[in-house]
Amino acid sequence: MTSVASFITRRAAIAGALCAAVTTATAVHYSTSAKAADDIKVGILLPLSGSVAPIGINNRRGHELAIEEINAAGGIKSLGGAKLVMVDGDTQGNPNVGIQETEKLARQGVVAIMGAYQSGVTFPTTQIAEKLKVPYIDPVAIADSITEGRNFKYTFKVSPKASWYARDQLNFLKSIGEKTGHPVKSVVLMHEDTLFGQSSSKGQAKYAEKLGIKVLDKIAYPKDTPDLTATVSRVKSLKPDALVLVSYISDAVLITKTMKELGVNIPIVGTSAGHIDPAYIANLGPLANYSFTVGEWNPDMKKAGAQEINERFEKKFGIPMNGHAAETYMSTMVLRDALEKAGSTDREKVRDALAQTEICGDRNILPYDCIKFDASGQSEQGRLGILQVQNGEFVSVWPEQISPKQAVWPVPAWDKR
Amino acid sequence: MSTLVAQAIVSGLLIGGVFALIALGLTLIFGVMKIINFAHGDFLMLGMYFAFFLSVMAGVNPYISALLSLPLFFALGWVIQARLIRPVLDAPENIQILVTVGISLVLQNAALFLFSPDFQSLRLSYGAQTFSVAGVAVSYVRLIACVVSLSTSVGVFLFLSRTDTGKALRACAEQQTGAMVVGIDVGRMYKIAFGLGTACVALAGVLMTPFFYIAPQVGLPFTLIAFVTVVLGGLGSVPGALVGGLIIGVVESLGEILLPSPSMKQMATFSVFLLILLVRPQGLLGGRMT
Amino acid sequence: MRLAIFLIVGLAVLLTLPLYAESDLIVAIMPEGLTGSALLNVFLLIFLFGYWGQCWNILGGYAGQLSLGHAAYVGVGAYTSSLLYVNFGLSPWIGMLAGMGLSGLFGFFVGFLSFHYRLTGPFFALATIAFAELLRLTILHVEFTGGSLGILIPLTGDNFWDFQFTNKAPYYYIALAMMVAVTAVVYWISRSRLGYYMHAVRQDEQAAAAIGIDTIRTKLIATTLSAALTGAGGTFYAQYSQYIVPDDIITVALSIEIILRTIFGGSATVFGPILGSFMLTPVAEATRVLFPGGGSGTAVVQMFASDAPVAEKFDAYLNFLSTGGGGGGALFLYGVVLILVCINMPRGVLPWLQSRFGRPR
Repeated sequence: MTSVASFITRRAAIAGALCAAVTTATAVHYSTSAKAADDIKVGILLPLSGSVAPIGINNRRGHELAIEEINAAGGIKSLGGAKLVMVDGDTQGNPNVGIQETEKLARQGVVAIMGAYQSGVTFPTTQIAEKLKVPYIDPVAIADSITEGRNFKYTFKVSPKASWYARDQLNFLKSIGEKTGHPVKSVVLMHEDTLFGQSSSKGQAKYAEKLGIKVLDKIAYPKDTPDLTATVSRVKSLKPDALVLVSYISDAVLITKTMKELGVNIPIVGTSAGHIDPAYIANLGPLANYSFTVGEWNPDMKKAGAQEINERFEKKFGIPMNGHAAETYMSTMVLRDALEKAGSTDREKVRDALAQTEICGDRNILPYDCIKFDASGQSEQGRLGILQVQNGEFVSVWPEQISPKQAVWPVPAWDKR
Repeated sequence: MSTLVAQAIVSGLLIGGVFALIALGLTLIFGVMKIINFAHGDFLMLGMYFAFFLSVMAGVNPYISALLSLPLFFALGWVIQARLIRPVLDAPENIQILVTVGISLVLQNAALFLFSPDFQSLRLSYGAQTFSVAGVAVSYVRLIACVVSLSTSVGVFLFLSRTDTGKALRACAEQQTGAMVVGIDVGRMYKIAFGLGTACVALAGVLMTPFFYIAPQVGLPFTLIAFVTVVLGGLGSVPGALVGGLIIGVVESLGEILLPSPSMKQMATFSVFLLILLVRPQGLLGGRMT
Repeated sequence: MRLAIFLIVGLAVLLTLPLYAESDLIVAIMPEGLTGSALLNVFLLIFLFGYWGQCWNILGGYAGQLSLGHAAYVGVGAYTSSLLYVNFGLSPWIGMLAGMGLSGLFGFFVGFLSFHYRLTGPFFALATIAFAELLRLTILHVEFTGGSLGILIPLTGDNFWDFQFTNKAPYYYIALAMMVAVTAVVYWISRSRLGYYMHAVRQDEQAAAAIGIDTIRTKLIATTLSAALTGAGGTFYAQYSQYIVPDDIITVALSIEIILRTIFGGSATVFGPILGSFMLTPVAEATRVLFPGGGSGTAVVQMFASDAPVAEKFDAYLNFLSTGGGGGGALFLYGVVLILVCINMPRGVLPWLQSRFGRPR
C-alpha cells in the first residue's frame, strides 16, 4: 500500500473533486431552469426512472405535445398569453419518493399536478395534494380507490375507473359472442399480484357475474417471474371461452409465448398496460396477432382530430400516440380550459374551475362524449374501447360506432395462423 | 389433473437445469472464497445483453454467442476478483458483502444507462416451438438451455475432480491453510474460481435469451434463487448445485399449481430454504459445514 | 476536547435548523429546491437512517451477527401501529410500543431459530433474508393487512396524539431525539457487561463460550433489542410518509440501505452509524437530483437492428447517451462510492479517521 501521506492526498483530492463536481453540477442544474416571469408552472409527477420509466416517459409526451400546442396558440389568453411550463417530479415508480416529489412540486409553486401513472403512487400522492390544497389531475391511473369514498376536493380523475375497464371488457365479450354466434359463457381471470392486478380482477369478477358469465378461476401470479408454464397449463385444462389478463409488459409477453408453446387456444383479452404497450408487438411479432386489449384510445378511432393529433405526435417523437399519451394530452387540455375559465393561477380558483370542466364532442378525442367530473372527482362518462392486434397493429374494434374495423372472432388456433 | 402435474414437473425440471448452472457458478465462488456474491445475478444479465446485441447487430445465433461468452466472462470474472474482491478478502465479512453490493449497483445501473430500462427480447423463429411427449409440451429452446446447462455442470464437475487445477480449487475450498502449505497459489485459485463462476452464470444468461426477457434488473431474483439452490444442494458441492437446481425448479413449478395462488410460489421456495438452513445446513449433498 | 466542541456546536445547529431553514442565508447557500422543508426532509432522513443504523449496529456491529433482513422489523413496527390506528383508533404512540413489542418478538423468533440451529456468518445472513421475504409475501397475501394496496394513514391534520403534523419540524425533532436516544443506548451497551460479552462473541464465539459466556443468550438479547428498536423506527416512518406498502418497506434494498451507513461509518462504534448517515444520505439525495431519469432505448435498438450504416448507428447511440441514456447515473455513482470505501477503508470511515487523527482507543 502506498504511504499514508499520498493515500490521504489521493483520497482528499478525489473527495474534494467529487464534492466540487456535485455542488457545481447541482447549482448549474438548478440555475438553468430559470423561467420567464409570467410562465405558469405545471407539475408533472411521473416515473421517469426505474423499471416503468419507458411508460412514464411516454405519458410525459402527451403533456409535452399539448403544452407545446397551447403555447404556440398563444398560451392562456385570460392570463395575458402566459405560457405553460412543465416542472418534472420523478417518482421513480416508488410511492414514498412520489410523496416527497409531490411536496417538492407544491413548494415550487405549480398551479396543479398531473400524475402519477401508477395507481399505487397516485393513491397516496393525491392525499398529500389534498392536504397541501394543490389541484391534482389523474390522467391514467385507474384504481377505483383513488376517488371512491375519499371525499377529496382537489383530485380530478380523467381516467376511467378500474372497474369500468372490467365493465367494458366483459360487455365486449358478451356482445361479440352474441353477435358472431360464438358466445362467451366462461372466463378465467389471471392477474399480476400488485394493486393494479388485484383491483382490476375484482372488477372483472363483479361484472362477469352481472352479465352471467361464469368465472372458472381467479389466478394471481407473481409479477416478473421467469416461468409460468404450470399456471398456463392449468388455464388450458380449465377450458374457458376467454382468458382475461391483467399484466405489465414482461408478463404479457411471457404468457402469450407460453400459450403458444403449450398450444392453448383461448382468446387473450388484456387490460391495457402490458397488452397495449407497443413493445408487446415488437417483442412477439406475429405471435401478438389476435390478442385483444381494452384501450383508452387508438389513432384510428373515428373521433374528430384524432388522426391529426397522432400525426403531430408521431412527427415530434418518432412513435405513434397511444392511449396513455392521449389521456395525458386531454388532461392537459382540461387544465388549460380550467386556467382560461379561472383567469388566475390561484389554486382555489383553478380547483373550482376544474370542477366545472365540460369538454365534449369534437373537442374530446377520447372514446366518449364529455369529460365531466362528478362530485367525487371522477370523470363520469369515461369508457374504454377494445383493440385487437391485426397484422401487427392495434386496431379499434369496439364500440362499433367509433371503430373502423371488425373484431376477428373466434380467434384462430395457433397452428392455423 | 395428472397431465397438469406432469407438465408442471417437466417445466420445473427444464428451468431447474438453468437454475443449476446459475447455482453452480455461485457454489464455486461461495465455496472457494466464502463470499456472498450479491452481483451474481447481474452477470447473468450481462450475459443476456451480450447475446442480445450480438444477435441484433451482427445476426449471431445465441448458441454461438454462448461459446464466445465463456472466455469473455471468465476474463471479466478474473479481473473483477483481482481488482475488487482480493483487496477485501481480509476485511470483515460485512465489507466483502458490501463490495459485491456495490458491484451489483454499478453493473445494473451501467446497463440501465447504456441500454435503457426498456426490456428486450430475442425474436427467434423457433423461439416458441414445442414438441409433445405424452401430453406434455416441451419447448425446444428451454430444453436446449437445460441440456447445455446440465452438460456444463458435468463438465465442471469433471474438471474439478480430474484435473490438477480442479483439485487445487477443491483444496482451497476445503482447507485454505493446508492448500497454501502444499504450495498452491491460493490467489490464483480465487481468480480462477471467480472467473469460472462468472462464466457459468453468464452462459446461463445467454441460454435464457431465446425464452426470457432482457432488462437491466433481471438479476436479483436469480441471485436469490441461486443462494437458495446452493444452500439446498450443499455449499461447494457441484452435484449439489445440480440436484438443488432441479429440485427448486420443480418446487416452484408445483407450487404454482398446488398453492392457493401462484403468487405464493416464492413462499414455497423460501420455506424450503429456511427448513434446509435450520435442519441440514450442509445441504443435501454437502460436504463439510462452515 | 476539539471533538466535544464540534459535537456541541453541531448539535446546536441541528436543534435550531428548523428555525432558519427558510432564511435568506440558507436560500443563498443551498441549491434551489433544497431549502425549507426539503432541507428538513434530507436531515430527517439522515436522522432516521442514523437511527436504524444504530439499531442494526447493536446486532450487526457489536454482536457481529450480519443481519440482512432488518427491513422485516421496520415492517412489523410500521404495520402494527398503522393497523391499530386505522382499525381501532389507537394512538400511534401506543402503537409504537406495541410495534416494538411485536418486532422484538419477531426478532427473538428469528434469532431463536437461527442460533438454536447454530447458524452463523453467511448462513445467518441468508436466513434473515428468507425470514424477511416470507414476512413480505405473507403481508402481501393477507386481506387484513391491505395486501398490495398497503395502508394509507388518513389525514387528521395537526395532532400530536395522532402522531401527525402538517409541518415538518415536529417530525424532524422526533427523529433527532430518537437518533440521540438510541445512540445513548448504544453507548451505554458498549460500556456495559453485555457489551463486553457481545464483543467477545463477535471476536471469537467459541472462545467466548469456552470461558463461560452464554453466547446464545447474548446473541438473543442483541437480536431482540435491535429488532424492537428498529420497529419503533418503522412506526415513525409510517407516520411520516403516511403510506406503507410491503414492496416498498420490506425489501432487501431497504435492509441494505440500513446497514450501509453503519458499515460505511464504522460498525461497532458509537458514532459510526451517525457519521455514515451524515455522509451517505446527502450523496444519495444529490445523485438523485443530478441524474434525472432516462430515455427509452427501444428506438435505439431498432436502429441497431436496421441496415443503416455503422456511422449512423454510432451517432444515434451517442445522441441517446448524451441525453442521459437510460438513466441510472445516480445509483451507479452510489455503487462506485461504495466499492471505493469498502476497498480503501474497510473498517469504516470513523476508525480510519481515528487511526489518522485520533488518540489511541
